[in-house]
Amino acid sequence: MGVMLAVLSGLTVAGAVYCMLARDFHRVGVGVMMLVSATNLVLVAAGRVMGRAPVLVGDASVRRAGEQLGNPLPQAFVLTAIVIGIGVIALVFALVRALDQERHRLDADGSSEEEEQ
Amino acid sequence: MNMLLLPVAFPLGLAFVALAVNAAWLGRWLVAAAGCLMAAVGTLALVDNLAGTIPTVAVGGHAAPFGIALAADGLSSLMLVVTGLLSWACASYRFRDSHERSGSSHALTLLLLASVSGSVLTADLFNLYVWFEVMVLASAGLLALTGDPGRLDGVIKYTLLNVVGAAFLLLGVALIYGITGTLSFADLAARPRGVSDPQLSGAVVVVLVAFLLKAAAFPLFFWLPASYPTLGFATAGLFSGLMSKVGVYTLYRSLLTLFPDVLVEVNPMLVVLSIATMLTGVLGAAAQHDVKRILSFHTVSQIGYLMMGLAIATRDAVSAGLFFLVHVIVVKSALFLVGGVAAQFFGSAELRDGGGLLVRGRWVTVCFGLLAASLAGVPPFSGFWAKLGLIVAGLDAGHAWLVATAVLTGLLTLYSMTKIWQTWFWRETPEALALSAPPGVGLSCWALFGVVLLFSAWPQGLFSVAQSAATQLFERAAYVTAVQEAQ
Repeated sequence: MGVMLAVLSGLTVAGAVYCMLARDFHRVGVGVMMLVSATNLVLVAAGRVMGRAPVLVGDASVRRAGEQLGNPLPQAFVLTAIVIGIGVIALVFALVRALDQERHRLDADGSSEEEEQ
Repeated sequence: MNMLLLPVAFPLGLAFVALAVNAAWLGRWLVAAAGCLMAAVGTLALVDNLAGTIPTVAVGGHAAPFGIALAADGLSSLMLVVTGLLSWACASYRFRDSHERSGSSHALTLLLLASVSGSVLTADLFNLYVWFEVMVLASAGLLALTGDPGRLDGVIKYTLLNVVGAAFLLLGVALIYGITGTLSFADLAARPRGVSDPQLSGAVVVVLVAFLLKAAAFPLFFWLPASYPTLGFATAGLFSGLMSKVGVYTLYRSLLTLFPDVLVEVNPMLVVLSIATMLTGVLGAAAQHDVKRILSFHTVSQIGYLMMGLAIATRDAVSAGLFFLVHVIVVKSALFLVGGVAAQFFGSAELRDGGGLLVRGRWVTVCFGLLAASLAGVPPFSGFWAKLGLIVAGLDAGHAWLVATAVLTGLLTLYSMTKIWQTWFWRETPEALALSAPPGVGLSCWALFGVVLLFSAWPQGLFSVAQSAATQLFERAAYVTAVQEAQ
């Protein structure tokens, strides 16, 4: 399980880097999405969320006999990271869309001239 | 309600008020009030620190090590005071562009202030990541709101680089959690020293990459000069004092409090990076002819000085570094604000469009000239004391290259400042402005200028505070106990 998670996150980061080095900003946005997913996978793997029982306080009947409680702390981390990742992805794609609209309106890429100074 | 919760909760709640009411005057008042609150809480915490205690609070009442604690030791309190002062000054600044007056820009600024307070006060590594992300989102929003036509390029670069940096931080935090089983600053700092763990060092280096990117160190600083020149002068002053300095704060915190063994291991890399940051920043500035760009590149080279204090790693060097931190936050932002006054008069931030302020605007000249001399390290101003402290500490520890680079960078900074002086102040007024007078400098600039004069005339005061903060950074036991017993 650990090995599979490690290989998966490695492949996802590789794909993310490949996309983020692309020329088209849409690909870069997809790369950001993949990077967010990869880091969440690493969080799950590093947190060693081993148990199968859900983290429900107070209702002991939910757990079957012999089942271990999953480590709740990394689950909290991953939830937070996923939500933050959604915000970040939304921002990146909003910027990509704004750049799209500006380039279609302006025809010439005036912004990069200032950069070359 | 414990006072440490106020600098975080107050701006966070008020951001939504500012957005809902959407009136420019209210937003300004809220940002200024948040800045004053941060400075007030920071001062109270600093008084406690100088008396020997570290105020802490366990958020939500959850005890260590699973709960998140906020702790204000010397370094955190100093950061709170200075960033609070800076926020008040930038909010009270007289010349705000139209986009800087909208309700959303005030809401985003308040979120930025909340995230800065959270970052310097938190005692939990994952909470630090959360505040970093809030900072990235709020600042990207502020960058996107400015009216400059070239801004989208800068915003995209800024956002992508900072998002990658935040992903690195999360990655490193995950690895650290997997190796040590804890993310609380107290537990990480309480681990036995001298036990070398290559796995943990690797994870810490991943986190350091994120902090170096946030601190605008070489070679990860290119987001700064790409994005800051698109902002208005007030926001640029705010950013230059907040964003990269929080990165420097996290570098000091992680390498001195949390992982001192890793500091020994990465020391050669830190030395090389601080030399490179100092040189690339100042050489980049020497090639520019727009005041906002010049000041942005100088921000990068001053970060090199701060990293130098960390690279030398002795107690004297760290206290000189903390003195430098306070000095550079105030001076840099004051330069942005006063530069904005002059740019308001000329109608542009380009050097070739200005001239004649020595004759026509004596107060602007006095203010800018002395601040520029302080930045360059001319005696007897605060910059001179700050750089002297770093150089003496460097010579004592035997870092010849660092000291030589520091001196060379100071000279090149003086060159840049002289260039601004020679174009905007020394030569003749352009004909179109021959009959008008420049506007008054304004209370916020004079307040910052007064603080710089205070540090110049009485550096011992700030030095003793910096030394006590540095001592607290090196002697971790007090910090560890304070956080572990947080209520």
